[in-house]
Amino acid sequence: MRHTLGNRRIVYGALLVATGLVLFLFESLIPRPLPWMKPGLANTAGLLALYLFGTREAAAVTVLRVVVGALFIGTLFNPTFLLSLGGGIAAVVAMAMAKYFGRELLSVVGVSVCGATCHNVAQLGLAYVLIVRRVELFFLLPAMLLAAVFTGVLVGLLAHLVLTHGRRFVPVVHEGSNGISGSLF
Amino acid sequence: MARAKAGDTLGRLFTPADRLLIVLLLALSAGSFAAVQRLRPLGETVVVEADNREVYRGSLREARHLEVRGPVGTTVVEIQGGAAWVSSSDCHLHICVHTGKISQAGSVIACVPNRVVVRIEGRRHNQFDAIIG
Repeated sequence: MRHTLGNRRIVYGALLVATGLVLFLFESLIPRPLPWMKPGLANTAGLLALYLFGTREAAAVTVLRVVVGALFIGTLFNPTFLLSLGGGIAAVVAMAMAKYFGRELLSVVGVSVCGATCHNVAQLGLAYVLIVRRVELFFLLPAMLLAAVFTGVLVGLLAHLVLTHGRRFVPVVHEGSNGISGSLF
Repeated sequence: MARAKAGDTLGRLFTPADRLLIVLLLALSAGSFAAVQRLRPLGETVVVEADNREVYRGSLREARHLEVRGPVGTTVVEIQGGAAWVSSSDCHLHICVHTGKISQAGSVIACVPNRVVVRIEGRRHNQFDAIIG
């Protein structure tokens, strides 16, 4: 049974957006000491999209998840939303570059840690530009870097679990010489 | 053009590069933490506020034992050896007591139920305000 990969990409892309949203909403329900302290589980969806499809799909999944997620919890177009969007885009760019340049070296975990680090640093930079405008804000940098290691490893392991043990449920995609081609199951 | 398959590093976790990346990040975090500690201006003045009114202002180096009255009872503020702390308070949760000692500019202890705030101000408190990024 052969389908065009286009349809498959749309279906699995939508599923990944939905997965990201569930993780995002789940995360929003967990009480946390500070509003910006989050494990970033929702980024698993973007990471999976990157490994299953590619950079464009990862960006689409992440941006859609951020926008619809903000719509759900009522933060659309406020500064928090801009921080989420900026952080998400930074994470996708970082992960795509880490995956491309570190193809033979970095595992999913390493790629995820790169994404988490850039997400946190980008958010700190954006928070400075958009909200706080005080250099003291960067006193948070050590904590943000430390947090990125833990959340990055967590998300990477989660994605690894899906990519290895979830083979039966996700499409196996190979990058051919002329773009993406592959077969389902 | 032969390109690597998407699943090249799948099945391998914490590759040497992964571990190097993690160690580098931890080192960067520790390094920036040390840098931040040096940058943070040292505290100079202790300010105690009760119900939003300043009730005490003095040097961090002068030892003091202050008993501040508030709506719940008495909050005892100790200043000694370049640090300030709340040693006891009549509030329920004792968050102010658990905050421990503060010594750096910008640090705050707050006893919300008793409306008592202990702040540390720096020597050059506004030194960062002129920097435009």
